[in-house]
Amino acid sequence: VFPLSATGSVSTGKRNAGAVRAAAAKVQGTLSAFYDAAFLDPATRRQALPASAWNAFARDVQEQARSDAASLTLGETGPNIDTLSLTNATLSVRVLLDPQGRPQAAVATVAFDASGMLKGGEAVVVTNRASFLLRPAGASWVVVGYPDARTDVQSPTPSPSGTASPAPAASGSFSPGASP
Amino acid sequence: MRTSRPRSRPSTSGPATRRRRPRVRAGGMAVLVAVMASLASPALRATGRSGPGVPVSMVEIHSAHGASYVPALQGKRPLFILALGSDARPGQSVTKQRSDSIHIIGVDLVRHRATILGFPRDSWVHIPGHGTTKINTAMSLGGPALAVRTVESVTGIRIDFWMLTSFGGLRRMVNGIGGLRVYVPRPMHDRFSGANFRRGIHRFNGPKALAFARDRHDVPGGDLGRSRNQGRLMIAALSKLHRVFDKDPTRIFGWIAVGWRNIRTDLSVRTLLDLAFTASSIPLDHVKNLVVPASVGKVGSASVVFITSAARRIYADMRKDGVVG
Repeated sequence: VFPLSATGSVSTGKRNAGAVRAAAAKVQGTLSAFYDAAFLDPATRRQALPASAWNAFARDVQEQARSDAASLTLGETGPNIDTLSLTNATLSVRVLLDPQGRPQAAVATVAFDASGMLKGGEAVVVTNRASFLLRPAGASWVVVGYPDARTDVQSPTPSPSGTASPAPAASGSFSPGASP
Repeated sequence: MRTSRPRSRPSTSGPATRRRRPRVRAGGMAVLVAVMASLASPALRATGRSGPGVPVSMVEIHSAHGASYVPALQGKRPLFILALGSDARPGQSVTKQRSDSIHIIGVDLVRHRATILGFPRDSWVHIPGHGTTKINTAMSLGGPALAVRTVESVTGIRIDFWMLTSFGGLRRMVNGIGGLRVYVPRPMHDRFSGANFRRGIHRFNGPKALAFARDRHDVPGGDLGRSRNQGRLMIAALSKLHRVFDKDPTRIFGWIAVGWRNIRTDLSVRTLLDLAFTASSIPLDHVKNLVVPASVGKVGSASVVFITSAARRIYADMRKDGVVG
């Protein structure tokens, strides 16, 4: 899902560009897999997000992340979206190195935009903005926190006057996600 | 490094170290409004935004703003850090000089509160293995390890970690984080420290922060007032950490790097980061800044500070949950 738009590091001692690149690639892999499952994959979008998708988060964070699904994923609107295509995705990763040059943590900043169609035929625009804290866990990197995460799903409707107009009644069948 | 002493420290990793930030975000209110709007009408809220070309309205179908979850230290017992400031001059060993700034920072990890307890440098105390003398000599006699043991002996509080900086370290740290906004409670005009401030809020660069921290000649209680001002600097740094972290979480790494380069500590970078996250979750009004109750006196010709018996209640209170009150 995400091309790496920027990679940076903060060193407390030895610099290690190779380790930073490797860490950033793993962060990219973790978040790409999660966003693919949470937003783009039609199979997982139509049903509840499979448990495996939450493995992007550290085990002890998963319960909290699930309760914040409305901000981290499409939430309850997912099943009502028929098609969705990525229009923009950027990921910037900043890695913290310890004095020996070993990656200790990363902050990833995500911008994700997609557009598609609702099942009723209306256009839909999805916007997600988030920042994630990740740490190495074995061979991979997992999310241990998200200082900020938000998801908006909107339907652009023609409005000749250019002013706000009421939404089609069909949209009323969707309920906003649970408040975090 | 004091890593071999067997004791249970608050967990710095693993399952019990996470928590939701205890704050209300504007985004949370946005969700509430959206929910109320959807309940009020089956037609969802129209935002009235227009795009390029054909005018459109954006109908909000789903909006969930402001989920925030930051890893923080957690543990059944409180966390205690000894913050030391060395009076080493250029060319001197930072760890082998006197510690003229001495503070216990107690953190209640359960209720996200903290207390900063300062000790005047001239406090007349027992130093293990060295008899009774001024508390600031402990570090010059045995490094940070003896400073820790001395404070533990005086207070009965078990210190988990120590952090030590120098005059230059403080200057560089304050400059490195872009300065601090500090409330100066009364005018300070002291040629020794260079403090020259009107009452009110000031933006301090490194040298000004250092002058503020060092002035003891025209502050109430001398050394006691100075110790309280040093606590004020810590709270100002915490306030800035909150603002920075809320605006751009990636900047916390810059703080860690600036800190790491300018302190000596027995913490790892990883635990320092955990502490920073924990600090970002402690509301400012949950932080107390105290100095041990004491009176000024003489031992021979030396000016000293006698910690009063009232301090025992403070120590006992802090031992329970890390904070006073």
